[in-house]
Amino acid sequence: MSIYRASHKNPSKFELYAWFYVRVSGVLFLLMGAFDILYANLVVGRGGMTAGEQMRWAFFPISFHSSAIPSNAFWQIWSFLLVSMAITHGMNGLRVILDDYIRHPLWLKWWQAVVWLTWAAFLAMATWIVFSF
Amino acid sequence: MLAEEYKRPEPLLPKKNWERWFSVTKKGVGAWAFALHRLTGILLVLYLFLHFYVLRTLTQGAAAYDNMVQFMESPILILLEVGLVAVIIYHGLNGLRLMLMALNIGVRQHKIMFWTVIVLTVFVSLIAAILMFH
Repeated sequence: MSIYRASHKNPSKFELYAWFYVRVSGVLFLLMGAFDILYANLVVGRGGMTAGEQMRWAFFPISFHSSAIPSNAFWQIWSFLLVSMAITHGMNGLRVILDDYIRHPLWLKWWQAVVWLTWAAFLAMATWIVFSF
Repeated sequence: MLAEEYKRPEPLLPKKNWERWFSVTKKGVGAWAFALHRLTGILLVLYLFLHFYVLRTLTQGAAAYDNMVQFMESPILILLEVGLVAVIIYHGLNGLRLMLMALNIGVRQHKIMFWTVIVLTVFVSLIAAILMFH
Protein backbone atom coordinates (compact mmCIF):
# COMPACT_ATOMS: atom_id res chain seq x y z
CA MET A 1 0.00 0.00 0.00
CA SER A 2 1.90 2.97 -1.25
CA ILE A 3 1.25 6.49 -0.03
CA TYR A 4 2.31 7.83 -3.41
CA ARG A 5 -0.78 6.73 -5.27
CA ALA A 6 -2.17 8.96 -7.98
CA SER A 7 -5.71 7.81 -7.26
CA HIS A 8 -5.80 8.74 -3.58
CA LYS A 9 -7.76 11.95 -4.00
CA ASN A 10 -11.24 10.62 -3.33
CA PRO A 11 -11.15 7.83 -0.78
CA SER A 12 -14.14 5.50 -1.16
CA LYS A 13 -15.19 2.23 0.38
CA PHE A 14 -14.11 0.36 -2.75
CA GLU A 15 -10.49 -0.05 -1.66
CA LEU A 16 -11.60 -1.36 1.71
CA TYR A 17 -13.92 -3.93 0.11
CA ALA A 18 -11.23 -4.93 -2.38
CA TRP A 19 -8.73 -5.42 0.44
CA PHE A 20 -11.25 -7.50 2.38
CA TYR A 21 -12.16 -9.55 -0.71
CA VAL A 22 -8.51 -10.39 -1.37
CA ARG A 23 -8.15 -11.80 2.16
CA VAL A 24 -11.38 -13.77 2.12
CA SER A 25 -10.84 -15.24 -1.35
CA GLY A 26 -7.24 -16.05 -0.47
CA VAL A 27 -8.31 -18.17 2.50
CA LEU A 28 -11.08 -19.76 0.41
CA PHE A 29 -8.55 -20.83 -2.26
CA LEU A 30 -6.46 -22.61 0.31
CA LEU A 31 -9.47 -24.33 1.87
CA MET A 32 -11.09 -25.25 -1.46
CA GLY A 33 -7.80 -26.48 -2.91
CA ALA A 34 -7.10 -28.60 0.17
CA PHE A 35 -10.64 -30.03 0.05
CA ASP A 36 -10.28 -30.84 -3.66
CA ILE A 37 -6.97 -32.64 -3.24
CA LEU A 38 -8.26 -34.61 -0.25
CA TYR A 39 -11.48 -35.49 -2.08
CA ALA A 40 -9.61 -36.49 -5.22
CA ASN A 41 -7.41 -38.83 -3.21
CA LEU A 42 -9.72 -40.25 -0.61
CA VAL A 43 -13.00 -40.52 -2.50
CA VAL A 44 -12.32 -40.51 -6.23
CA GLY A 45 -8.83 -41.90 -6.75
CA ARG A 46 -8.46 -43.85 -3.50
CA GLY A 47 -4.72 -43.32 -3.75
CA GLY A 48 -4.53 -44.60 -7.31
CA MET A 49 -4.08 -41.25 -9.04
CA THR A 50 -0.83 -39.93 -10.46
CA ALA A 51 0.28 -36.52 -9.31
CA GLY A 52 -0.68 -34.94 -12.63
CA GLU A 53 -4.17 -36.47 -12.57
CA GLN A 54 -4.53 -35.32 -9.01
CA MET A 55 -3.64 -31.72 -9.80
CA ARG A 56 -5.93 -31.68 -12.82
CA TRP A 57 -8.77 -33.20 -10.87
CA ALA A 58 -8.24 -30.92 -7.91
CA PHE A 59 -8.43 -27.70 -9.85
CA PHE A 60 -10.90 -28.54 -12.59
CA PRO A 61 -12.86 -31.45 -11.20
CA ILE A 62 -15.25 -32.22 -14.03
CA SER A 63 -15.72 -35.07 -16.43
CA PHE A 64 -12.77 -34.70 -18.80
CA HIS A 65 -10.19 -35.00 -16.05
CA SER A 66 -11.23 -38.26 -14.61
CA SER A 67 -13.46 -40.81 -16.24
CA ALA A 68 -14.52 -41.86 -12.74
CA ILE A 69 -16.54 -38.68 -12.25
CA PRO A 70 -19.27 -37.54 -14.61
CA SER A 71 -19.84 -33.84 -15.05
CA ASN A 72 -22.35 -32.47 -12.61
CA ALA A 73 -23.76 -29.12 -11.56
CA PHE A 74 -22.09 -29.10 -8.15
CA TRP A 75 -18.57 -29.37 -9.54
CA GLN A 76 -19.37 -26.96 -12.33
CA ILE A 77 -20.46 -24.30 -9.87
CA TRP A 78 -17.51 -25.16 -7.65
CA SER A 79 -15.07 -24.77 -10.56
CA PHE A 80 -16.72 -21.60 -11.68
CA LEU A 81 -16.44 -20.11 -8.19
CA LEU A 82 -12.79 -21.14 -7.95
CA VAL A 83 -11.80 -19.75 -11.33
CA SER A 84 -13.83 -16.55 -11.17
CA MET A 85 -12.48 -15.78 -7.72
CA ALA A 86 -8.94 -16.47 -8.94
CA ILE A 87 -9.41 -14.10 -11.87
CA THR A 88 -10.83 -11.36 -9.67
CA HIS A 89 -8.09 -11.85 -7.07
CA GLY A 90 -5.35 -11.71 -9.71
CA MET A 91 -6.76 -8.77 -11.62
CA ASN A 92 -7.23 -6.86 -8.38
CA GLY A 93 -3.59 -7.56 -7.63
CA LEU A 94 -2.60 -6.07 -10.99
CA ARG A 95 -4.81 -3.05 -10.26
CA VAL A 96 -3.01 -2.47 -6.96
CA ILE A 97 0.37 -2.81 -8.66
CA LEU A 98 -0.65 -0.23 -11.29
CA ASP A 99 -1.86 2.04 -8.53
CA ASP A 100 1.47 1.72 -6.76
CA TYR A 101 3.80 2.38 -9.65
CA ILE A 102 2.06 4.52 -12.27
CA ARG A 103 2.12 8.17 -11.27
CA HIS A 104 0.65 9.79 -14.37
CA PRO A 105 -3.17 9.90 -13.95
CA LEU A 106 -3.94 9.39 -17.64
CA TRP A 107 -1.66 6.38 -18.01
CA LEU A 108 -3.16 5.01 -14.81
CA LYS A 109 -6.69 5.35 -16.20
CA TRP A 110 -5.64 3.68 -19.45
CA TRP A 111 -4.05 0.67 -17.75
CA GLN A 112 -6.92 0.38 -15.29
CA ALA A 113 -9.29 0.16 -18.26
CA VAL A 114 -7.09 -2.59 -19.73
CA VAL A 115 -7.24 -4.51 -16.44
CA TRP A 116 -11.03 -4.20 -16.19
CA LEU A 117 -11.48 -5.38 -19.79
CA THR A 118 -9.11 -8.32 -19.30
CA TRP A 119 -11.04 -9.24 -16.16
CA ALA A 120 -14.33 -9.21 -18.06
CA ALA A 121 -12.90 -11.22 -20.97
CA PHE A 122 -11.43 -13.82 -18.61
CA LEU A 123 -14.67 -14.15 -16.74
CA ALA A 124 -16.55 -14.71 -19.99
CA MET A 125 -13.99 -17.30 -21.09
CA ALA A 126 -14.20 -19.09 -17.74
CA THR A 127 -17.98 -19.23 -17.91
CA TRP A 128 -17.84 -20.58 -21.44
CA ILE A 129 -15.30 -23.31 -20.66
CA VAL A 130 -16.78 -24.43 -17.34
CA PHE A 131 -20.37 -24.59 -18.54
CA SER A 132 -19.59 -26.20 -21.90
CA PHE A 133 -19.49 -29.59 -20.21
CA MET B 1 -7.46 8.67 10.75
CA LEU B 2 -9.52 10.89 8.49
CA ALA B 3 -8.24 11.38 4.98
CA GLU B 4 -8.47 15.16 5.29
CA GLU B 5 -6.27 15.22 8.36
CA TYR B 6 -3.58 13.12 6.83
CA LYS B 7 -0.60 15.13 5.70
CA ARG B 8 1.48 13.36 3.18
CA PRO B 9 5.17 13.43 4.02
CA GLU B 10 7.56 14.73 1.37
CA PRO B 11 8.49 11.50 -0.41
CA LEU B 12 12.06 10.74 -1.33
CA LEU B 13 11.33 9.71 -4.87
CA PRO B 14 13.89 7.82 -6.86
CA LYS B 15 14.34 8.63 -10.52
CA LYS B 16 12.47 5.61 -11.81
CA ASN B 17 9.52 3.77 -10.35
CA TRP B 18 11.07 0.52 -11.41
CA GLU B 19 14.03 1.07 -9.15
CA ARG B 20 11.73 0.70 -6.17
CA TRP B 21 10.34 -2.63 -7.31
CA PHE B 22 12.84 -5.14 -6.17
CA SER B 23 15.32 -2.99 -4.36
CA VAL B 24 15.54 -5.28 -1.37
CA THR B 25 19.01 -4.27 -0.25
CA LYS B 26 19.30 -2.43 3.07
CA LYS B 27 15.65 -3.16 3.79
CA GLY B 28 15.45 -6.57 5.40
CA VAL B 29 13.33 -9.70 5.35
CA GLY B 30 9.98 -7.93 4.95
CA ALA B 31 11.10 -6.35 1.67
CA TRP B 32 12.08 -9.77 0.33
CA ALA B 33 8.70 -11.17 1.34
CA PHE B 34 6.95 -8.25 -0.37
CA ALA B 35 9.00 -8.47 -3.59
CA LEU B 36 8.55 -12.25 -3.79
CA HIS B 37 4.82 -11.91 -3.14
CA ARG B 38 4.42 -9.44 -6.00
CA LEU B 39 6.62 -11.45 -8.33
CA THR B 40 4.78 -14.71 -7.61
CA GLY B 41 1.45 -12.88 -7.95
CA ILE B 42 2.35 -11.62 -11.41
CA LEU B 43 3.60 -15.07 -12.39
CA LEU B 44 0.29 -16.58 -11.25
CA VAL B 45 -1.69 -14.13 -13.39
CA LEU B 46 0.49 -15.05 -16.37
CA TYR B 47 -0.11 -18.71 -15.54
CA LEU B 48 -3.85 -18.02 -15.56
CA PHE B 49 -3.57 -16.97 -19.22
CA LEU B 50 -1.62 -20.14 -20.01
CA HIS B 51 -4.09 -22.25 -18.04
CA PHE B 52 -6.97 -20.92 -20.12
CA TYR B 53 -5.04 -21.51 -23.31
CA VAL B 54 -4.55 -25.14 -22.34
CA LEU B 55 -8.10 -25.70 -21.15
CA ARG B 56 -9.41 -24.22 -24.38
CA THR B 57 -8.57 -27.61 -25.94
CA LEU B 58 -11.39 -29.05 -23.84
CA THR B 59 -13.85 -27.33 -26.15
CA GLN B 60 -12.24 -29.11 -29.13
CA GLY B 61 -13.05 -32.57 -27.87
CA ALA B 62 -11.43 -35.33 -25.84
CA ALA B 63 -8.72 -36.15 -28.41
CA ALA B 64 -7.38 -32.61 -28.49
CA TYR B 65 -7.35 -32.51 -24.70
CA ASP B 66 -5.58 -35.86 -24.41
CA ASN B 67 -2.96 -34.64 -26.88
CA MET B 68 -2.38 -31.59 -24.74
CA VAL B 69 -2.13 -33.69 -21.59
CA GLN B 70 0.43 -35.93 -23.27
CA PHE B 71 2.41 -32.84 -24.23
CA MET B 72 2.22 -31.64 -20.64
CA GLU B 73 3.83 -34.87 -19.43
CA SER B 74 7.15 -33.98 -21.01
CA PRO B 75 9.98 -33.46 -18.47
CA ILE B 76 10.48 -29.74 -19.14
CA LEU B 77 6.81 -28.99 -18.56
CA ILE B 78 6.77 -31.13 -15.42
CA LEU B 79 9.72 -29.09 -14.18
CA LEU B 80 7.73 -25.93 -14.90
CA GLU B 81 4.79 -27.41 -13.03
CA VAL B 82 6.99 -28.06 -10.01
CA GLY B 83 7.98 -24.39 -10.23
CA LEU B 84 4.29 -23.55 -10.39
CA VAL B 85 3.68 -25.54 -7.21
CA ALA B 86 6.47 -23.60 -5.49
CA VAL B 87 5.00 -20.28 -6.64
CA ILE B 88 1.48 -21.22 -5.51
CA ILE B 89 2.63 -22.49 -2.12
CA TYR B 90 4.77 -19.41 -1.48
CA HIS B 91 2.03 -16.99 -2.50
CA GLY B 92 -0.57 -18.84 -0.44
CA LEU B 93 1.49 -19.23 2.71
CA ASN B 94 2.86 -15.71 2.58
CA GLY B 95 -0.71 -14.53 2.04
CA LEU B 96 -1.65 -16.29 5.28
CA ARG B 97 1.29 -14.61 6.98
CA LEU B 98 0.13 -11.21 5.71
CA MET B 99 -3.36 -11.89 6.94
CA LEU B 100 -2.16 -12.90 10.40
CA MET B 101 -0.18 -9.68 10.56
CA ALA B 102 -3.20 -7.64 9.45
CA LEU B 103 -5.09 -9.25 12.34
CA ASN B 104 -2.23 -8.18 14.61
CA ILE B 105 -1.17 -11.76 15.27
CA GLY B 106 2.53 -12.52 15.40
CA VAL B 107 3.75 -9.20 14.05
CA ARG B 108 6.87 -9.51 16.17
CA GLN B 109 7.46 -13.00 14.80
CA HIS B 110 7.15 -11.95 11.17
CA LYS B 111 10.75 -12.84 10.35
CA ILE B 112 10.56 -16.35 11.72
CA MET B 113 7.21 -16.72 9.94
CA PHE B 114 8.85 -15.70 6.66
CA TRP B 115 11.55 -18.32 7.05
CA THR B 116 8.91 -20.90 7.96
CA VAL B 117 7.11 -20.03 4.72
CA ILE B 118 10.34 -20.47 2.76
CA VAL B 119 11.14 -23.82 4.39
CA LEU B 120 7.59 -25.12 3.82
CA THR B 121 7.68 -23.95 0.19
CA VAL B 122 10.93 -25.81 -0.46
CA PHE B 123 9.65 -28.89 1.37
CA VAL B 124 6.31 -29.07 -0.48
CA SER B 125 8.00 -28.39 -3.84
CA LEU B 126 10.42 -31.23 -3.23
CA ILE B 127 7.55 -33.60 -2.42
CA ALA B 128 5.71 -32.41 -5.54
CA ALA B 129 8.86 -32.94 -7.62
CA ILE B 130 9.28 -36.49 -6.29
CA LEU B 131 5.59 -37.30 -6.89
CA MET B 132 5.51 -35.78 -10.37
CA PHE B 133 8.74 -37.29 -11.66
CA HIS B 134 7.90 -40.65 -10.13
